[in-house]
Amino acid sequence: MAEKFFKLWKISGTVYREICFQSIFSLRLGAPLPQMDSDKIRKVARQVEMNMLVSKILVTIFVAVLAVMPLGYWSYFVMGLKLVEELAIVGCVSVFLASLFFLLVVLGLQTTTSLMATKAFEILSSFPISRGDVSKIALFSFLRIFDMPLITALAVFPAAFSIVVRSFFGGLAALFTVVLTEIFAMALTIGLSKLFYSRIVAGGGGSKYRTIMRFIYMLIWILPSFGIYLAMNFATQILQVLAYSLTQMSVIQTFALALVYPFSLGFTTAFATFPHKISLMHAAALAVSTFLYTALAYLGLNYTGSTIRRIGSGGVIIASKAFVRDLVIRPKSPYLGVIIKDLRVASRSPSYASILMLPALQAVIILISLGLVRIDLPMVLGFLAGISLMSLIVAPTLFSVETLASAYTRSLPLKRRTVIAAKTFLSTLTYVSCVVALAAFTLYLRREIFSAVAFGLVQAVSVTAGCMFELLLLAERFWKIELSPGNIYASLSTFVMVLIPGVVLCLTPMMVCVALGFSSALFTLTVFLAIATLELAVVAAVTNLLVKN
Amino acid sequence: MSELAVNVDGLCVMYGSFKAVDGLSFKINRGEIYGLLGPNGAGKSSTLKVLAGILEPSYGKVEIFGKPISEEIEVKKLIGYVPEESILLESLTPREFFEFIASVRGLSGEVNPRLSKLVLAFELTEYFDTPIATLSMGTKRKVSVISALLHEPPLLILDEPLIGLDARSSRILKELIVHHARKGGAVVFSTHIMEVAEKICHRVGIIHKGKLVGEGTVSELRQLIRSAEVSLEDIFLKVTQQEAGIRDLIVALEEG
Ligand SMILES: Nc1ncnc2c1ncn2[C@@H]1O[C@H](COP(=O)(O)OP(=O)(O)O)[C@@H](O)[C@H]1O
Ligand SMILES: [Mg+2]
Repeated sequence: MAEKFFKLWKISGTVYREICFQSIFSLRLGAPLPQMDSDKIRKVARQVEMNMLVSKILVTIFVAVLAVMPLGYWSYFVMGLKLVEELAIVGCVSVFLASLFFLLVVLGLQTTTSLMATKAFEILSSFPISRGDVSKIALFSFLRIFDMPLITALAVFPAAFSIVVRSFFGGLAALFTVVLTEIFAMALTIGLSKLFYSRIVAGGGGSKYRTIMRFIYMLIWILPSFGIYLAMNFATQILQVLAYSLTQMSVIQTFALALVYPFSLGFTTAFATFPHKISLMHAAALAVSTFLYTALAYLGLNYTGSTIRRIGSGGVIIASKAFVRDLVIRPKSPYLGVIIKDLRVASRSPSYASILMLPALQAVIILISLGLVRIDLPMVLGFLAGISLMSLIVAPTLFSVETLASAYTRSLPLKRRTVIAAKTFLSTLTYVSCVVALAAFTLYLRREIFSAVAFGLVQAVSVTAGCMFELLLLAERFWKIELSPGNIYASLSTFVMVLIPGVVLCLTPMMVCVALGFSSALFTLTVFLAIATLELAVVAAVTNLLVKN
Repeated sequence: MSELAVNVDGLCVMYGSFKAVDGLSFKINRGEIYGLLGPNGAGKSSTLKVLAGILEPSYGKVEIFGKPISEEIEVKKLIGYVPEESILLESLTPREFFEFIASVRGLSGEVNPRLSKLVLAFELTEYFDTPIATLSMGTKRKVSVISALLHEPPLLILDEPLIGLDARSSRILKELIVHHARKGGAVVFSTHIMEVAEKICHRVGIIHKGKLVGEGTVSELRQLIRSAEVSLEDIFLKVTQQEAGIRDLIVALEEG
């Protein structure tokens, strides 16, 4: 029994590595590895494994920090805010559970879509391995995606909790809530990836309806990453707000809160720690909600198991043939053709889509803080720099789209200039649309928007220069040699080497303005525009000179 | 334009220190169908990738219609390429993929009647709006074949084009190849299937371990072996010096 378990666990390791490889070279299919001897290929594969391990370790450290951090506020809650201990527990536990949940989902989504798409199980099924064992291998491979963070969360949080609160039963309850949360996170991960894979990747292209559906699913997909980003940016604020509102709440409100995940689990932990301090009504509510969430976790576990088993037997991908209206295509110019293709490809792959959404995500964070604080010019510049940086990440990502199926597309008479121009336009567009959205929002808030809009638009020129320079570097360096496609983690060092000059170019005009001081907005703006335009002109000229076709 | 469609002289392709194509030279005229024959790993695909502008030659001269292969864009306008593995932009539908190809090739809406004919001929209609990722190997191949034919290129480069195609489509493709050559276009394709080469190729080149070991019309090659009876397959095995080995192997296998 144990021997067989280890055998299957070992096989799942191979499958897992294959999945990692595929997710890093996401939709890697068709990106050729030419002019590489086997040593080099082995090196690339090893690099992929290293990258996967590094990102896993990072997440694990993250989990550990998250597990300890809320407890670090313990004395602040109890002494500073004079929050009663059981409510402090609710705060700590629910914040940790929420962050753990988001983190696991984000981590999982990076790789599970590849789990859906992998052919590994089909191949395994052709070996003399029983169907049941193939399913088990699928389940193990799935667990391997999460193993380290799962175990870390299970070990660190309950331990830290029982030490800080000095309660054994409290620790036990904490362990239970972590288990539930992990199950929820895995079920959501598997559900989202399945949805994504079957509806978006496999679900037909053409009609408006499908486009809208795809967009909605994309938002669903983005939501968890958005959540984690928010949580990271505002972790301390959220904790404080939560602690504050807990002190202000009426009995009825806390009663209602005791029913909602993750607070409900926080109350459960609090109850287990201080059983005598909880009212009978709360205890009753908790009994009901704990029972419901346990049942839900049980269902989630079943769902996860059965879905993964279906992946193991290859039953997840549902190709729906779309109704074909006509056979007419509408060719555009090469430039537009590349832009449309990039938008289509990027919007259908989670790893590309999430990066394309980065500037928007940054903008939303800024919108939220706009509602909270007073803005001045340096602050506006800071915001614009933030969005610019995100757009500078978009440009190389878009370039890596070009490596998809390059074994084929490279036979097309596509000019490098066209590619650079199209991708510069798209990356700058992600920036400009965010600035426009921000401007509209400040207008709505009746804030003074001239500086935001004017500086935002001038900064667009530097963003264009930065993106174009990045793309020039990539096109010069990687047109002939292949850039590993898919997500940016695969070639982090290259990515950084390209990003740094881009960032320098993009932020120089702004830095000069800061150095000049802000005595006259108009003067600053003029200098800003002059430097940015000069930069863009130089980059365009160099591109023109170096890239002949 | 030059009468020669393809002129390859002393082509070498290296993968690291491994020489996959070793001093290959051949010419293809307009209106000619040239078959590249060779066992697995002979270097056929590598050669065709160089012609299609996907791989850079390590050494050697390659000209397409008199233009050096380094004039990338100009050369690529003249060719249609069907890769060995039909790995396309998987998340697009055939409609979107054709639209992209047509845009990059600078075609206008006038391409539509031709596209419709090709799609109907290869029975691709029902998959026109289904993501390529979910299509079967053969259907994907049809997509890549249609993309290669869309702009009526003067030179067709086909890497094992018949693999995975059903009987009807493979018949249509063969007819299209012959028709294409009759109109003055040139075709080069690699294949394992001897009968196909024998039937439709004007000339064949046999390549083995990256070197050309035999070239000529099928009847010329027969003379080379000095027997009217032999099939192309026999010639193939003879010039690649696999014949003796195979006989021994079969004998050994039969003896169990
Ligand atoms: N990307 C690559 N890296 C290293 N070796 C390769 C690569 N592609 C092909 N080869 C090797 O080059 C040789 C010729 O391959 P190929 O041109 O595909 O042959 P064919 O198409 O005739 O079967 C083979 O030995 C193959 O293993
Ligand atoms: Mg081949």
